[in-house]
Amino acid sequence: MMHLMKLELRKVGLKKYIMISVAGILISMYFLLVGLNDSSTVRDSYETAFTMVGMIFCFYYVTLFSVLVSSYIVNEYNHKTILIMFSYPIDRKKLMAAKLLLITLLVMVSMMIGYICCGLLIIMADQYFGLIKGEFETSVLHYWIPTALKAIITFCALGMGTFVAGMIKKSVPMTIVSAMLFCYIRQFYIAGRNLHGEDWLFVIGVVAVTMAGVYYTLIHKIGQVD
Amino acid sequence: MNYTIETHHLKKVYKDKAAVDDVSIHVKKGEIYGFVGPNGAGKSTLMKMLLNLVEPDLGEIILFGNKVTPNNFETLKKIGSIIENPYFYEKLTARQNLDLHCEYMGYHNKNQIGEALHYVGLVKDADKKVSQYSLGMKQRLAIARAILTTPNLLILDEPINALDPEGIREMRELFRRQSTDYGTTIFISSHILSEVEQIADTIGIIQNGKLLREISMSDIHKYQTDYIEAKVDNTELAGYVLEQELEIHDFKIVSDNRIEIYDLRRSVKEISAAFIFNNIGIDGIGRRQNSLEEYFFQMTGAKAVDSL
Repeated sequence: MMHLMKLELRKVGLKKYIMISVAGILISMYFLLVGLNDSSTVRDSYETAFTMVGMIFCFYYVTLFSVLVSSYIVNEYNHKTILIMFSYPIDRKKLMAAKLLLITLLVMVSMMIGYICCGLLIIMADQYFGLIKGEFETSVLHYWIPTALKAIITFCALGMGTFVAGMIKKSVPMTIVSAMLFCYIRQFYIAGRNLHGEDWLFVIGVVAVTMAGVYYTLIHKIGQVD
Repeated sequence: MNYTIETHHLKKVYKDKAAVDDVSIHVKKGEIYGFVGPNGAGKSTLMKMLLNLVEPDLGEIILFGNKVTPNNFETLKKIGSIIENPYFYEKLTARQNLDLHCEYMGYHNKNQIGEALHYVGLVKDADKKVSQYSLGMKQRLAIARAILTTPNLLILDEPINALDPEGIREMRELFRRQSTDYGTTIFISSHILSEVEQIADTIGIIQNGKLLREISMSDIHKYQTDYIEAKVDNTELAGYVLEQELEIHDFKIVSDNRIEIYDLRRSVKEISAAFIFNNIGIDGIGRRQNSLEEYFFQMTGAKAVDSL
């Protein structure tokens, strides 16, 4: 599997992805800073500030995941390069799983870096500009780390959901639009239950539904090239 | 019989239309099999089925003596292919594309890459991105990729499309060399019949998804009748002269100024002398032979289809 992922990486290259990823993190940090500095609203606590990161990252990373799914997977069908891939003596489910894992890994690493950068930004915003209500204590990390972990798992699962949706008709627009839809569902859930982030029920639910969808897609959808 | 490819009653239906209908082909080990038919006849669909890219609705495929099943990918190790068009990762160079191909095929003799590029005349352009290639160059590169791992079987869908006449000649030689030097079985589709005629040992003719005939080229040559073609200014009078004076009844007035004479008891010299004697103007006269093209049109003509 690792070998297949490396080969995928050789095909798509890392340079462009790193540039997009860095740009995305910087833009997210900018939005976060603007949000924290908004004098028309109540000052954020460390908890609510992190909720804002989750919201920004949800839209950015689920969309990014869907763009990568479109470019690395759906376009292989549209550009017919999948005919080359499927002429190799390798199980097609394995080929597709390698692509999906590579995308997940890339997005996950970027998200981790993004959370670290945004976390540091919140701390610095408080230290230098006093934009956050309360003091930073290490106990904040006991809230931040599990929240980030749940968010990372959820966003990756939602991203995989865009693969399932996109592969129904092998359509790029459907892949991207489904990303938007999934983000809204996540926001509705959090807002509806008055949460600051995903709870484990939501995480497990999303992962279970996505895994079932991915399994179905790998079995029934990837082999259809005509 | 030792067959590399066998299909039995293969059928594939798309939206109530049979793209491939009850097709049974037999490709002997080491031979070059020309698969000919008009556009939309079902050639590519059948080739995709051979490569396990499309699942048949009915029938079975046997490659190298083993039945092809949906999850049998190991056979693909022995096959080089071009399907539909020459598809590549366009942002990569030709060499990088071939290198990737070797990796995926589990083929470790990377020295072959240079050799394959040399065979198709792309050594100088090997480090150019494929996006900068012309269609003809891509076609050559696709051929290089297909032969790169010295496969036992080549499945080539219209491999000489977009090639110039020189390129066609070079690729024809290359395929022949693959067949003779490595014993590679080649299953090749083309609508350029003169090319298939020059290279194939056996041909299969497909139309509307049905295999009309599977026949060796040596048998086709038996069908290829000689005849005399005469271009004259008065076909009616010429017909009269042939019948009344030369007692030739087996001829056909093909057009206003052309007659084909199948009864060859009389020489060209005798026929032209009779025409001149009767003041029939002759624009040209000589012996001709039916080509594969004519055989193909005989087979794929409406009557041929109806008779099946």
